[in-house]
Amino acid sequence: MNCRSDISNENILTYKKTNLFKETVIRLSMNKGAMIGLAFIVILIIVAFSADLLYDYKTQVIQQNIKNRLQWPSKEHIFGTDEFGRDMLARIIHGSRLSLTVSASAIALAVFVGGTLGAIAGYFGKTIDNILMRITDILLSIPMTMFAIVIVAALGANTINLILALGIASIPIFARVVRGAVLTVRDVEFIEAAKAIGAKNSTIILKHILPNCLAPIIVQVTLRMASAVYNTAALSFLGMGVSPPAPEWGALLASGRNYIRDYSYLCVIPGLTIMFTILSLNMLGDGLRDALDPRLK
Amino acid sequence: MIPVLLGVTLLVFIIMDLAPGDPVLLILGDNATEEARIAKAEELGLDQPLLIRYYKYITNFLRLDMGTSFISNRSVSKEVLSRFPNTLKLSLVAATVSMAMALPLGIFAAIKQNSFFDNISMIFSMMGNSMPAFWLGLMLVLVFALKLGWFPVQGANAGWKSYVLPSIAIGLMNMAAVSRTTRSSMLETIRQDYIRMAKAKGITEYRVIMRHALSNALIPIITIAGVQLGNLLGGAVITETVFAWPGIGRLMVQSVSSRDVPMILGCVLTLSISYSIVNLIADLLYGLVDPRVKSMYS
Repeated sequence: MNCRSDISNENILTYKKTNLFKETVIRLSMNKGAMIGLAFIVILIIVAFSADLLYDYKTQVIQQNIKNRLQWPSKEHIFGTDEFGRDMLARIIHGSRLSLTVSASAIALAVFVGGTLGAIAGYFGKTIDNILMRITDILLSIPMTMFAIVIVAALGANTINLILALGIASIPIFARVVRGAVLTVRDVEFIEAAKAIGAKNSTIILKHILPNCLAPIIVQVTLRMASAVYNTAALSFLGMGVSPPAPEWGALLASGRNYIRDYSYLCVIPGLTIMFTILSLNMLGDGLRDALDPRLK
Repeated sequence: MIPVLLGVTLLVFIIMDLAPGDPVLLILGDNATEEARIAKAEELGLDQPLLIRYYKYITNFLRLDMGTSFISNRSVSKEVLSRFPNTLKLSLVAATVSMAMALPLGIFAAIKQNSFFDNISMIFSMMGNSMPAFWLGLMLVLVFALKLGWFPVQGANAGWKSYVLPSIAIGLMNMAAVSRTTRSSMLETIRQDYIRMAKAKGITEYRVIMRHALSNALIPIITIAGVQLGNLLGGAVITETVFAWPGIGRLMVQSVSSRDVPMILGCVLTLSISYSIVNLIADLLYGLVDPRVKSMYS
């Protein structure tokens, strides 16, 4: 008995402790692209949160100041002013709050509904799985942007409906991803063990299955955020999302379009902001995918 | 595919039915009498339950009758079918442009893995994948149409020149996705034993890459190319608006602004059917390029 305990103690001493979270962070921190993306996103989130401290929404973002209209970038107005004399930097900064809120809310809705449906389909299988997956087939056969436009067309164009439209359009993607992830762990021994001790289905799904398939969900959330930022801007650009004078990036681009010939900065700056946000999210998503599953690299 | 299409039609039909506002009032105006409104609702079949209207819509749809526009009173089928070739032509040109750039880029990046060219091409792909097509379109218009005057600002009346800017704007995003898939698929293939064997036999590098590696790496490339062509059709909604392209996407955006439900339905269904057909063609191509897939079903 003593001898056995000695061996196990020795094993414990020589055993290198592994921690998936720690390993993922180390692998992620070695990926330069992912770290640049993460830094940009963190800065953007901080800027979005402190937007009100930097520029007052009513007096500097919305209020017109015709005297200052269409001024090229200068020391006073780093990003210039728009056709109503409003500071473009102030509008871009407050726009980041709108774009990130709309995109994050839409993705949260999609993760919650899609994840629940995917987990149910994957865990219970058979008829429920068949029905839910055929519904996702139908939803996936409508291009995402077009599906969002249809929903906005039916419900009307405003911020809440934009979130609903983008969220609903992303549900099938998350349902598929979560179902696939659940299928990989559904028949593993620890799930059988949980069933054997009489755990409820909801407990098994929430406590045992979902924590074990978080990796693909996290990766998909990051990549889909990029796509949500794109679609938020696209729908606002078409006049089907956030309506003026709210400074959504796509709406800024749409209003700057009328002055593109002589005041190109009105289109260049919002476009670059959208591009760098999407690029950062894509780089972070790719980095996370490589860090969470190095086999995919 | 048919059950999926039936599902798509039912789903879009239900969503559009949720649209607030009375279509009869949209047609007749707010001052119409009660009798006129009831008569118009009966004429359009709007007094019927949803499922009966759906059944009638589907049976008419099979005869290529997609109803009449609430706004222009023109046949939706005629309007959609007259615009669809423009969208299809633009999508095919954009797909050709993106494939012509993506395949060589992906293949070279894989052959010269971790080289300067590989890094630059992947950065270029990453940037292309992140660039909103509607913004890129505006920038191309600014430089090549407004400043240099090489191409028209909008429309499809200037022959081949009309296609250049829109096809680059929508093709670049797809190029990025296809080149990245080509690179990773080629990287996996060129590490296989049969490629080493082919090289050992003294076959030229070009032949090894084109004959042995590329043909075996094609399946994921075809998958992503199919998805991307579908996205081109779906993304037409935005790019056609930027370039005032007389296609189905722009028609849809105009119909959404005027709440012309039959026209929106017609546009969505036509684009969804095209999207499904493109994916079906991609599935069928697997059998052509890979004998293993063909043998599974023969």
